[in-house]
Amino acid sequence: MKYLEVMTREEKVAAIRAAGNDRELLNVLLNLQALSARSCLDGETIALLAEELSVSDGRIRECLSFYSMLNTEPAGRYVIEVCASAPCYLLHGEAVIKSLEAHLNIRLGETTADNLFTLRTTNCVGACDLGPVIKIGDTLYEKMTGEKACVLVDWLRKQAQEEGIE
Amino acid sequence: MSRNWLLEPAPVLQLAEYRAAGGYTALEKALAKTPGETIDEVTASGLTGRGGAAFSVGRKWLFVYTAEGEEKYVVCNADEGEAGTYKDRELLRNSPFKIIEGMTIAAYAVGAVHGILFCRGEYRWLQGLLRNALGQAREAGLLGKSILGRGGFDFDIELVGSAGAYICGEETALLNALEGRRGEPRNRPPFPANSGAYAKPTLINNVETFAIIPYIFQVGADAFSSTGTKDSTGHKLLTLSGNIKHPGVYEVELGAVTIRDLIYGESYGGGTADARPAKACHFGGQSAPLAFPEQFNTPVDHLNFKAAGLSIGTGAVVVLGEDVCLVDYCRKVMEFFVHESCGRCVPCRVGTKRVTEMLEQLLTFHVLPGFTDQLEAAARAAAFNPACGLGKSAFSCLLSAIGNRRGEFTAHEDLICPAGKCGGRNG
Repeated sequence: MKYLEVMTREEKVAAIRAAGNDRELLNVLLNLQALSARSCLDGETIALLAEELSVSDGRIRECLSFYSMLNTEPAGRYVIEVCASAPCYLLHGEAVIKSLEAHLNIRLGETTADNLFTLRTTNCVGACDLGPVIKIGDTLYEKMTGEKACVLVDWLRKQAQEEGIE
Repeated sequence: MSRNWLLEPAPVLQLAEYRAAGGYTALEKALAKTPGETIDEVTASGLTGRGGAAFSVGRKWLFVYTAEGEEKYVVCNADEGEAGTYKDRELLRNSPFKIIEGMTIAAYAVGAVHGILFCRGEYRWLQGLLRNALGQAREAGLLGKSILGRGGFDFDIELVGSAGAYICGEETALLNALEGRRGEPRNRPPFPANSGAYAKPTLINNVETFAIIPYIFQVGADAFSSTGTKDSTGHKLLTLSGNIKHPGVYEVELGAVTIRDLIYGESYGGGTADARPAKACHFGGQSAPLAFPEQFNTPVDHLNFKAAGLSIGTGAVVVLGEDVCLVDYCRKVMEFFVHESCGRCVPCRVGTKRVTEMLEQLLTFHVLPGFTDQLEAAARAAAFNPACGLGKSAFSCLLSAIGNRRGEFTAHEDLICPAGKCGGRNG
C-alpha cells in the first residue's frame, strides 16, 4: 500500500476517484484518510478533491472539522480510540487508558514520537455489550483490559515494521 | 411472551434464505393494497417510531404521502449514537433484508423513488455486508425498476455513510450529513416531510421501525396491535450494558416486563455483575433521565414510563452498580454532550460546558452550601430553549439525579462522597 504522503499528483487523483462517488462525500473523506500515514488529509489532496467534485476547499474543510472521525491535524498511523462513553466507563475503560498512556509513554490526546500511535477517546461505538472497547481504524477490539491493549499495541508496531513504516 | 419478531437465531444474509422463510410476502401483501390502505394498516397497528421519539409511524407516513413533490425520499436512520444502544447494529448485521423490505413497503406507501440507508461511520465494518444485501435485492428485481413486476413502482436504495456525529441521529442534522454537509440541525419549518433530503419530501424512520414493518403486513395490523399495551403496541429491542451479568440485546413485549425484571430476571440481565443491588439504571440513552430502584417496578411501556417521569428512548439500559458516584456519572454523561453538541446554538454549546465545569468543581473543591441548587438552576436554564431536541434532553440525566438523590450532591459540597469514589473522601 502506498501512502497519500508519497503519492504523486496523478496518483492522488486516481485515489480520489477510487474512493467513492460525489453522493457520499463523508465516506470518500474517510477512505482517503485511511490512506494517509498520518491519518489526515493534506492541503493538496483537499484541493484536488474539491476540483474533482467542483466544490470549494471550504466545503470539504467544514466537514473535516465537524465530524469526529475526520482529522484536521496530522496524527499517528494508528489512532487508538478508547470508548469513553458511560457503559464502557462503568466497565473501567479508564484503566485501559492509563495502561496505554504508560505503555506508549504519551498522554491522552498525544502522538508517539515515531508518529505511529495517537491515543484518544471516542464516544459510543455501539459495542456496549462487549466493553471496554477500543477502536483502531474501522476495527473494534472488545472486552479490553490494560494488559490486552498493550499486547495489541506491540503487535501493531511489529506489523508496521514489517510493512516498513517508521 | 410471544416469539421473537426482530431477533433471529442466526444472521440471514442470503436473499434466497430470507425469501424461503417468508421474506417479501409482506411486500406482496402491501402491493395488493393501495398506498393509502397501506398507510392505514400501519396506523392501525399503533406502531410508534423506535428511534427514541416514539412518534406515530402511520401519521409520519401520511405527512409524506400528502406532501407535494416528485422524487420523494425514504431514509433509514442507522446512526444510533446514544451510548448504551446497539440494537440497530444487531438488526443491520443479522437482518438486513427486513430493513430493505420495510423501506420498500414505505416507499410504495408514500410514493418514493429514492432510498437512502444512512449508516453511522462507527459501523463502517458493517457497510460491506449491507452493500452486498442491497446488491442481492437489486439483482432479484426487488429494488430498481418495476419491483415485483409492478409497472411504475421504481425504488432503489443507496448506502451513505456518516463520519461520527451523535447529533446526526436528529432528523434534520441527518439530512445535512447525508448531503455531505456539516451535520447541524436545520430550522423547522419546513419539516422533512415537505422538504428533506435534497429539498424533496422525505420520510425518515429508524432501523428498528423499518425492520418491524414486514411483520405487520405478515400478521396484519389487528394481530400486531393485540400485543403490548393500548398505547404501546408490539415488541421493542432493549440493550443491556454496564454493571450487568448478561449484557446483550433482548426483545420484549411492551408492557410485559418491568425494569426490575430486565435487570434481575434470569432470562434477561440476571442481576448485576457484582451481585449487589443496582444503584440506578440509565434507561433510554444518555439523553434520558435515570431510573432509581423505587421506580424499578414500572412496566416498560410509554404510558407507565411517562407517569414515572422516565423515557424508553432508544431502549438502552445501562445499569449502575452500588459503587457508582452519581456526581461522577453525571459528569461523564455531560462530557458526552459537550463533545457531541454541534455548537450551533448557545444554550447547548455553552450550557453543556458550564454545567460540566460545575460538576468538576463539585467533585474537586469545597464549595459553598447551595451549590447544588445553583447547578440545578443552571441545568434548567440551559435545557429551556436549545434549537433542537438533543440540546433540550442533554440535561435530563443530571436533573433526574439531583431531583431524586439531592443528598448525594449536597454531600459533595462538603467534600463527602457517599459512594466513596472521589479521591478517597469517603462518607
